[in-house]
Amino acid sequence: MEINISTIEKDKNEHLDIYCHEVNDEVTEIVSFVKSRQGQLTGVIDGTQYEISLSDVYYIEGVDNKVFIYSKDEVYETRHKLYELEEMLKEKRFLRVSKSILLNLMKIESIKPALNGRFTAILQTGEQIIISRKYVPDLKKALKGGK
Amino acid sequence: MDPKEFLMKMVRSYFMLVTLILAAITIIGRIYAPDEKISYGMLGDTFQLAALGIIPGIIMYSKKELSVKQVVIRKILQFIVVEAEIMIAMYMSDTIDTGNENVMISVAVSVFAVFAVLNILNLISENITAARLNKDLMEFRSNNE
Repeated sequence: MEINISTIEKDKNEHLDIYCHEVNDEVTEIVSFVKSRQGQLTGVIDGTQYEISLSDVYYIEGVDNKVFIYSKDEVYETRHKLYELEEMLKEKRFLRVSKSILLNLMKIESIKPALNGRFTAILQTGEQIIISRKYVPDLKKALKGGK
Repeated sequence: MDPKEFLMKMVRSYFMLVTLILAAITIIGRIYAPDEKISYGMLGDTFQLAALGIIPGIIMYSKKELSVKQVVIRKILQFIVVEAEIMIAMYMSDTIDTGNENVMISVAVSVFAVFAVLNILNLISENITAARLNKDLMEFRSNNE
């Protein structure tokens, strides 16, 4: 795929055009990546595609090679791998808190200790997410404003 | 857990144990032998007892993160092993009167008390960390809203 980047004047809207033979997985992935950079994710429920604002996402979980996006009331499936989303969302206040979960830090109501150096994040929905001991230093750093 | 991290935790627990065992010896000594003086040998025993008490901590080691149920089961197992080895060590040494039932019960209770205090201190430490995290979380949310 050829890539052309043109600089435009400040008064014009920035936009991205994709010219392709067909809208295949690769193209969908590129679109999805760009949307995530703009604060949106693409998720699927029963074959229907939805745009999800990052501010509505509570956490993202990887289960048996599938990745699910959890909002307050819905669970969407996404085509992205968890590590891809981790990379895409690391500047968007999302943090890996266990092997299988990426958590939206803005949705944590409070944190309480679990046994053996682990912690539990209580979300605004009341749902509880375990923060693995391994990721606690990253959480401390992230809350202090570090990346 | 990372072996290095586990080792550091064991070392930290060792020094906490030394302090707690000294406290236990002081309390039992004041009750059963208030006129006795603590010898250098007795002080040395404190370090040995702490070393003995720390070894069963290996039961808590796991490369994978343990579930709450696994932690509780391993803690109980750890306590049983610590209690057994300290009692055996007491019977094998001649530092205390093992024929005195009250003294032996006090030692057994002291081992439980030291084990409980050590775990309570760890819980307090985790609660302090959680309080710090909550404070940082509040600031983080207000800065990013």
